[in-house]
Amino acid sequence: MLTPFQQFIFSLSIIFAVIIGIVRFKKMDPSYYPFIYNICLALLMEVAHQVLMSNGYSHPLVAAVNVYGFLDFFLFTWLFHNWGIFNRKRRVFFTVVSIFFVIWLLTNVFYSQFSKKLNLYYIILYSFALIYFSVNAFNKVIVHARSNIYRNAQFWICLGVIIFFSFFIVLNATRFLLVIKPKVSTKFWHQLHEINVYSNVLVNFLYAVAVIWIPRKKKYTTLF
Amino acid sequence: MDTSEKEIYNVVLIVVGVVGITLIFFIITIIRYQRRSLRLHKEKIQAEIDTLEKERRRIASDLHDELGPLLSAVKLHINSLNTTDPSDEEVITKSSAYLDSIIRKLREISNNLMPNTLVRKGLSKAISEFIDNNRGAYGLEIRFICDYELHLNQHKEVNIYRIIQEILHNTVKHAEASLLIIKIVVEGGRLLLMTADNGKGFDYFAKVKDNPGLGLRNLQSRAEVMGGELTCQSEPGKGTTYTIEIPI
Repeated sequence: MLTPFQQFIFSLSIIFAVIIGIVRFKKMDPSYYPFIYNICLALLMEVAHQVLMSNGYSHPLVAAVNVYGFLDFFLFTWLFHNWGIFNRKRRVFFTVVSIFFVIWLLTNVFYSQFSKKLNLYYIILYSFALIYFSVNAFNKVIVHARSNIYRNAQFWICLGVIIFFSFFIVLNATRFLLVIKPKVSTKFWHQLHEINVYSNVLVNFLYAVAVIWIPRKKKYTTLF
Repeated sequence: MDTSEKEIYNVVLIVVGVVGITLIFFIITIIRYQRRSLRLHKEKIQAEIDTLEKERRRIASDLHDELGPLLSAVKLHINSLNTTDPSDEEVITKSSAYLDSIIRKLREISNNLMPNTLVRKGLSKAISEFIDNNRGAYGLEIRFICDYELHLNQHKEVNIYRIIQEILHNTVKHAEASLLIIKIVVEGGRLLLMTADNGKGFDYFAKVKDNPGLGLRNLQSRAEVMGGELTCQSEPGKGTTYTIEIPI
């Protein structure tokens, strides 16, 4: 079984994607910026998670995870909007984000009280939404990509999102169901979390590959 | 962990395993089908373009090599007629002028179908010549910027030439522009063909979604066949910019 510190080290695997992203940032297609913001935020979150957990700040930790849940959803949805998943209609994008913001707010007010417990309702819901968007984007890439698909950043990002959030739903649904169980041992929780750690490492490497293949900024002729 | 926890954990592991295996199978299958479909699609486009180019070359050659000399012979014969009747002389002069005009038009059509300059002197010269021929026509100012001597294989040269022809045609037909700039840059193993006009522009994504039209499809097909990528940036009132990246 992994110790919490080992789990933290594994979770830092996102740093590869972050470093590549920062190095390539100026040259990459701006439509991918939300993804870079997202992986930077994920890295910050992992560090904050470790700091808060090791100092025993459970309430701020839960609050941080709950806020991160919404930011994660917002940044991924922004990315999918840039890829044309909402037919490039800004109104649809803002409507989707607004609906999820209201749900996030309501579930936080009535269920998790922001820092008392994890907002599992919202976590499961937004995971489903991101899988839905990713499957759409993935299908679009499969149908429209006319170059080597292994060199397509969208392909790797969608794959990462589908894999990560599928396992995430399974684990959080289990966690959600076990809330009714009076007492669950710490060892069980750790083992459950370990599955998430491994899927996270795999997905972090997929994201690193994706960042490598993010297309360069298009050079448009500056004429007028 | 007690027994019930172990059981729950095992169930979770099984679910995770099943989801994982299904995902892997799903992804591998999709990739295989995508690759196969992509290969067939490229072969189909390549065959269509090859047939089209072959046919154009044949027609151009027939017009230039067979009809051209015949018309010249007819002109010679007409001019050799000896008559003193002024009205006959006028008919001969007029016929000769018509024949000249037909021969000139024939050369023009033949050159549009398969430019001699492209075959003999290469892409940059052919583009320059094409632009010179169209400069000022249709009230459109055309600027061509290329600081390189381009040496590509003939398929790519023909495709790039056709793309430029198509873009110019689209600009004249739809853009209502007064200026078109065509720029070619070679860097890092790729050729960048960039064009921009100051016309009325259009909603590219809406156009592609509704009905891309033959012109846009043609541009995309030719870019794909070369392993390149076409990007169009256009908004109503903001002109149209095409960028085509072609590996060389």
